[in-house]
Amino acid sequence: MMTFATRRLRNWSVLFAAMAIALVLFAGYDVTLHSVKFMTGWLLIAAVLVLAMFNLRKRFSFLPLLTASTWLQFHIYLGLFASAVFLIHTGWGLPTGYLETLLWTLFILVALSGIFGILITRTVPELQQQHGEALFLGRIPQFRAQLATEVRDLIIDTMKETRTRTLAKFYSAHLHDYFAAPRNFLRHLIGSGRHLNGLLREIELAERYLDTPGKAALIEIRERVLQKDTLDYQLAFLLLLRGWLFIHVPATYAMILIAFVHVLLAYGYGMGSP
Amino acid sequence: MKIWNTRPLQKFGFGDSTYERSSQKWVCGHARHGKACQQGPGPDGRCITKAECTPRNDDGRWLCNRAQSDGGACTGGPLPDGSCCRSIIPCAPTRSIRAARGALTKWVAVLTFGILTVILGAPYGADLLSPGPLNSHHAELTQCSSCHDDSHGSLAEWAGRIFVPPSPKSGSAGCIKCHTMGTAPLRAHNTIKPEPMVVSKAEMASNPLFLNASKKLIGGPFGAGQDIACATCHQEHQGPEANIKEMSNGQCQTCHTLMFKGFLNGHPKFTEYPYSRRTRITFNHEGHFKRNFPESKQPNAPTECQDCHLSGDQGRNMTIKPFEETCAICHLGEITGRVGSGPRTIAFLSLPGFDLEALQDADINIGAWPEYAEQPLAPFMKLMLSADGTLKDDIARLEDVDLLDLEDADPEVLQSIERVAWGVKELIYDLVVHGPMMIIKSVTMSTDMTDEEASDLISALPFDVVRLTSQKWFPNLLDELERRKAGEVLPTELASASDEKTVETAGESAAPTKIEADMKSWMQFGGWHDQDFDLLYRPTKHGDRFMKVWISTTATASSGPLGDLARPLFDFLTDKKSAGKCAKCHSVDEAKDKSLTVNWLAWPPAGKTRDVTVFSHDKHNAILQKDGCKSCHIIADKAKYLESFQDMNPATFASNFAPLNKEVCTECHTDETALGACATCHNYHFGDVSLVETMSSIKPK
Repeated sequence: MMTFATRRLRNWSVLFAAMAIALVLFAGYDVTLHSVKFMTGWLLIAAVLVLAMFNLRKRFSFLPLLTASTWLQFHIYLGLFASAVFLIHTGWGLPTGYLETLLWTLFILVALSGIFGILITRTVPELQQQHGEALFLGRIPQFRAQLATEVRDLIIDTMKETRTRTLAKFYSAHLHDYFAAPRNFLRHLIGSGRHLNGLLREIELAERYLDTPGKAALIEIRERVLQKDTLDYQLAFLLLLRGWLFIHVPATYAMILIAFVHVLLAYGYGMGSP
Repeated sequence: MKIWNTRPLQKFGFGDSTYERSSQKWVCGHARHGKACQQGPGPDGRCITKAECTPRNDDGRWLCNRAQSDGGACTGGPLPDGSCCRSIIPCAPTRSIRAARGALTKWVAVLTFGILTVILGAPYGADLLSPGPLNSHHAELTQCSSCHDDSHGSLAEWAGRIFVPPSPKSGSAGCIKCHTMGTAPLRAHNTIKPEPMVVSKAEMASNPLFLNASKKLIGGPFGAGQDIACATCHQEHQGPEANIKEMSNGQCQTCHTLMFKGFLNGHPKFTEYPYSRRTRITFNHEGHFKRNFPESKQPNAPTECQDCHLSGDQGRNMTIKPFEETCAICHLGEITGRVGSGPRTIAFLSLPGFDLEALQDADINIGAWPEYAEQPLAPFMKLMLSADGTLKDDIARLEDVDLLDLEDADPEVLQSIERVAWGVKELIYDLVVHGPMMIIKSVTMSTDMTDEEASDLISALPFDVVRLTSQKWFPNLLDELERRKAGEVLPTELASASDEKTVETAGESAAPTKIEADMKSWMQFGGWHDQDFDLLYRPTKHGDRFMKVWISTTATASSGPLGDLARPLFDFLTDKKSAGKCAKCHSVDEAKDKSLTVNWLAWPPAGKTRDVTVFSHDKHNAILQKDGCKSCHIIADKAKYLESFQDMNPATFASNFAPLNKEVCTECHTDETALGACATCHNYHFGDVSLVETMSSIKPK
């Protein structure tokens, strides 16, 4: 079986070879006074259409059209190839027309979101594994509700047993909102633990005001606070893993539509150069 | 301590966890609260679950069917009617993440399509569709159709052009509307037959393997007779500051790569440049530098190049200062005849002398003819007598005949002499009676002439001079012509004529007083006078209009129907020793069609003709302080400069200066200074290249 390193070496080699061939081809077009922009333009159109077929391939997973993994590899490296062709097509600069600027922006958006997607799909699963229990995205609300219920039950039971409202007040002040919904999305993405440390400090401060049953309950509550934080962490990165596609996919289709008009305009307003 | 090292939340198992349907488009609305129902929403996104389970009937008994993951069978059990006792509040299902992404994609696509539709259909859409602002020189072109002739049409037509080869002609039609590019604007170098650049094999620096391979694989660049669209090199819509005229060496070397790599590497040495044709003014720099100027007694004899040359034509050329500021100090006297040797005057009318006794013996009747006339037929008179065609053959017949010795002349010659003699008399009569218009008519048969030129042809020929000449030559001219017209034969008579100069005093009754006139003093300023049997003209100054117009007119007429008559007069006037000595300095070019051009100017008017090679003296003068002009222009010793003017071919030239030394240029024109590019010195478009001139009527509305 091919190792990851071998596969990467092979793929990058193929990519560089393809780019080298393309560059030679472009240079040949240039020295023979043909329009390199038309050449690169059509190459881009073809590449983008093939790249977009990856999404269709996922819809028709029952068809025997190579494995999804192979398609993904092809998608990644063809995307990098298309990005290089795009830079040549645009002359390494910003366009000056409105429609071209929109098209340029969409391509950059698609390319950067794609690169971002590659990076996070390579790194996030490992981070999830390192940060507690890796969870299904769809189950997280259920677990959050479960933890919230458990904490609320603990408070009620303790209140009944000790007939004091200290723990209940602490819950109302610090924990109710925390368990009510996902929290600290951005803090988790940037790896900050400040919010959790603050909450744990509040729990430590509250401990001195509690009697023995209350302290026992607080230990349980503390554990659930940690579990809720894990849920929030996992949720943040799971949303990130899926969220980038909310930019990548819609922008791709918008780009294809505008590219279609761009091609028509290039021919409709052509000036006769080959 | 790992703070997340807590008990696991997630369980896997039939009874411990629900089945995840991640591919479903809709998710139970209660899921966000952690209480998703087991069944989930319907495929249309509506909530279809009403209770926690759907009880099953077991032999008439309803049993709870709640999933183990939801707690298993409930204690209450189904109701008697078989429905679940634990109803669920209906939810508002939400889209799954994947479905939400799909919906967003559709909305974005629809929005994009809508925006494109609006842009393509809206009247202001052109601004949004434009790929960018035009170059500032094209800022006034606000309509797409100003340049894009093909832009009209539907989207389908535009799409159809994908499958049609591009047409340089229609694509560039908009450009050519304003830019005049000669007769073949879309051909290479906008010329049908570009002059091939001759380079020896030794000067070829590279074998363009890559280009040759590209040509075979891709095709092009452009063969002979193929058009090149302007947009091949000029890419518009790059903003007002963009340089759309910039050309790379690579673009030049698409065709010229066989020649050389660049200016430093393989560019031919300057074998002729800039002396590709001979100078229009014959001026021997070597002779003047080594002899004339040093030996001149004139205090203002030139000592520097700038004494005669002046930067002109927007700094491109070193033009020559006016004659009056340069050559006149030594050469004006040669023109007016005050100094030097050789004829000072030109015989405009000359009375030819005949062997009158021989004519009498042969019974040739020419009437009275001055006995002492002995001039040959003047070239001017030959032209004027021959112009109407009647005497053309007679004059031609007399060309090599000694008119003063006709003893053995053929009868045909004698007959011709009779006709020419009467022709001379009629010419003089016509001149006196009808004025100089007959002169103009005689030479304007073959060439158009303005009133100003016609006026210069006679150059204020005074009536009195003509009248006196007529009276002196033929005192009874009117009587003779009338008698001959009446049919009378007028035998040849020897007439005596006086050439004494007389000045009449005022008053008709006064007796004429003979006064000796100092003709030398009179004629030193040039103009008309008669002497013996000649009516003479003496040039008055440099640029004498009489000389210039007669030379130009006969030059033009030399290639016309009167060519055989005009050319001798032209040769007579442009003889190096002729009065005025015009052709001593003003060279004459003879084209292949034998048409003649007299180079009155050292430089032709700049006009709109663009040269292949561009050079600005002004830009180089500042950096050539050490040796100045001599940095480039070095006198070529013993060059046969003057000999090269012996024919009239402007290409025959031996310059006074050695060819430019390319190494002088390569001191600065290197790849490092970016001055080694082809386009630094060469124009791609040359010849008749300009912008179309506007036509504005000044007629009142």
